[in-house]
Amino acid sequence: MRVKVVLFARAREAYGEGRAILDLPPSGTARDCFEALTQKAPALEKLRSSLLIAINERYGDWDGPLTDGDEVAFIPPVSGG
Amino acid sequence: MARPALVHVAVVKEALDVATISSRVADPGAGAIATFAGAVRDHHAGKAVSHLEYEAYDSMAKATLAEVAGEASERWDLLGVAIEHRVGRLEIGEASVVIAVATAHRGEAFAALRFLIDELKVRVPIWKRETGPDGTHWIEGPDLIAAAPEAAD
Repeated sequence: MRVKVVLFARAREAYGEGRAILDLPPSGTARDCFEALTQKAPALEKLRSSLLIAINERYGDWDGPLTDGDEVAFIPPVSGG
Repeated sequence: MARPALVHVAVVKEALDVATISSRVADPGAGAIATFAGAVRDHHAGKAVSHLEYEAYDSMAKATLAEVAGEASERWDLLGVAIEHRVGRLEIGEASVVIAVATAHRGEAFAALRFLIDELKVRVPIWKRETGPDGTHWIEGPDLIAAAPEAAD
């Protein structure tokens, strides 16, 4: 299955771009996405513990199974306002 | 509760106008219209700041703003709530966020405003990096983290 990944702020900077398309095995997770991203951009690894996950624009978790076409976001600590 | 509150949320690149946003919540039943504006300050954590840049996960930011607005509406029986957050480069003194609420009585308006800005700051996917004489830093809660050189564009 194929998922769209979006990265913001410091995560975007560490990865080098703000989006990626990933092919995952069935029932792949956000954690699997992150492993694939860190293969390409090891600098992401040190952000891991600070990141939240959103799936289709709602906060979700690292280990829930994804569905084909999902949008997975890696969200650093927010600082709006 | 009489009827659902009017809810308006937006993430915009243009300057925010408090009067325009406030007028969105006008209601004949309102005895109070209260607004909050967040402004860009010239210092943070002991460092001088020359400007800020805001970045948002636009679609989720709007959805989360609407969610927070809905929660406030239920809790305080709001007649209307409008929230606009600006993104891009902001100069000192400019408004980064404006929130307006309309209620029958003032107490609910002040309480709801406080809730809305507090929740926005912890839940809505928007980020800022600040630039000053010491370089450019991402703000992550209480932490300042040096941004990559190409970030200072």
